[in-house]
Amino acid sequence: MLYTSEALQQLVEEFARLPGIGRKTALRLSLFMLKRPREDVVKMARALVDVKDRITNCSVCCNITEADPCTICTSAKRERTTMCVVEEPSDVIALEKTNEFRGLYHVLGGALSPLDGIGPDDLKVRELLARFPGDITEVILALNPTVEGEATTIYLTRLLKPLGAKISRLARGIPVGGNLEFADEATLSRALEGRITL
Amino acid sequence: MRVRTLHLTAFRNHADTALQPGTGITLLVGDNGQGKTNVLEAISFLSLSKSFYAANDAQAVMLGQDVLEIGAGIAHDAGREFDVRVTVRATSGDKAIRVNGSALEKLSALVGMFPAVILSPEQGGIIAGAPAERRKFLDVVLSQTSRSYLADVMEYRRVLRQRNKLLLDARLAGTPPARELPAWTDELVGLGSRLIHMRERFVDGVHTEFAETYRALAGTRGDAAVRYITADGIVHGMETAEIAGCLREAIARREAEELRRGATLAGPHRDDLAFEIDGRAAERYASQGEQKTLLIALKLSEYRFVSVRCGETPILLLDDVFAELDRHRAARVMHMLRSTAGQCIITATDEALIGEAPRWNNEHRRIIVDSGTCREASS
Ligand SMILES: Nc1ncnc2c1ncn2[C@@H]1O[C@H](COP(=O)(O)OP(=O)(O)OP(=O)(O)O)[C@@H](O)[C@H]1O
Ligand SMILES: [Mg+2]
Ligand SMILES: [Zn+2]
Repeated sequence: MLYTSEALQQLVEEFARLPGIGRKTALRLSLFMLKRPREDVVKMARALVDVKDRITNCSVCCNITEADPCTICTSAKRERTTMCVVEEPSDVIALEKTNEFRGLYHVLGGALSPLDGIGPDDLKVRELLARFPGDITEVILALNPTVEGEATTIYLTRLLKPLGAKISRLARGIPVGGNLEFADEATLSRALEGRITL
Repeated sequence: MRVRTLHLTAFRNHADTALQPGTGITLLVGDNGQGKTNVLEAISFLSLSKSFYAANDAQAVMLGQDVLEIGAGIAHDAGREFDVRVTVRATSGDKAIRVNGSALEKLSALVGMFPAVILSPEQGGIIAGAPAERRKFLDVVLSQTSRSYLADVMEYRRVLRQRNKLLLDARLAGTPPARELPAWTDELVGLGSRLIHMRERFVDGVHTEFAETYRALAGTRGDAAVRYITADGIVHGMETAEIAGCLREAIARREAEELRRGATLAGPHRDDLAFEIDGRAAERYASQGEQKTLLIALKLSEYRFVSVRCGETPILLLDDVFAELDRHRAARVMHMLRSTAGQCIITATDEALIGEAPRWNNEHRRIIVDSGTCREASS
């Protein structure tokens, strides 16, 4: 055994599973937890279990939520005619922070990527189509500015166009919630040169 | 741009070499295996962030040493000075590039900053080798002059892999292709048509100059031509949208074959350049010296293209170009180099090979390379 405690070894292994955490950091985090008061550790452990137990996916927009349908889908203050399609729940959080968008969302759970074995059936595309026909008249495709996000945008455009809603997309190249100032030169020059419009 | 000073530490066989190239032509002269090509390779790190021929950075670290450093004082045409430092660690392969003290976050940020045009024996393949070598040539030139081309190339490669995976999956499963295939085709066609458009424009921009340079180098004999070969239906002067239409049709025509082979069969990754002398394919009919002359003409055309597009005079690096040339052609090459505005570094095993030496002074320098050291020849 590498460590003098099996419990410690277990915890290090769990931390090391987290994205961006190597074994060294995992050990440091574990020893840090060991020094914390017991009640703090219990609080954290509970928080971990709670996100798992209390959070589900909204049956309408597929975003993470505690109530189904979620508070955005049921809110009377949101415009029910506009829908923004994003890849991940984190994109909803980023867009909400801007306070610019007052419509509804749809969270796909990723983007098309044959190399990763991801096709339309692995995304919440069926759930998206189920929202038509309805009140929605405008769809904004706000997928990531990657090759996969772009393919997904094209795929959804082909799928949604016959349904009659107006389809638009975020300006190509500028990352979601991004700022012109921070976009690199290549992104900017491509944005200026202009992309194929939908 | 101009390299004012160059300092190599533990770079290949150069333990500690300091060098001041001339403002015009610098001849690196020395026997085989003394370290001439290595100096050019070091400059390619400054320009392209990597070796112009070796795929592995760590290989350039002097055997038995841990870290190589290439330090250079470089001046832009407008006079702005840069201190550029490249380090590579042998054990980890870690590479860091600092410009005026600050480390570049992305190495690709260096591409185009200090443009170079390089002609080395490995590039003989551009004329007579496989089509992939000619596509690589186009991609390197255009990436140096256009950041959007560089971004498009990288995305195109990724889209191609994604689309090929779908085709391969369908082939292996013996089913029709997945229903999202048209989306990948659209994206491939969008990026691919932009690449084809840029490549067409490049060939269009250099072909007259290429023919003239070839004629000037060869004496009067032979009309040289270069053409871009791409998907059926795409003709000269088309806009990106028209190219996209043709490419889409070319892919559609090969639908059945694509499924049988599990690969994308039309697009810039299948295109080629054709070189001809008097209407005959150079790869099959041209002699060694004629092929070398074509290559020099191409590189000098590239040189002018890069100058104009980057707004910065590139440095011209010619490794061993005189070996296959007769005396007359060598003299004409030297004559042409003297009339280019920028800096030019050439290598030869013997000064006599360069046909017609300039007067050696501060502008044109002759440096003797001997067992990993450099010293100015006394004239
Ligand atoms: N990582 C390394 N460490 C030490 N020496 C190296 C390393 N890589 C290559 N060399 C040596 O550098 C020497 C000089 O190479 P270089 O290609 O620069 O010679 P050159 O002067 O261009 O010769 P030629 O006229 O034959 O082309 C070679 O003998 C080679 O063994
Ligand atoms: Mg050499
Ligand atoms: Zn919801």
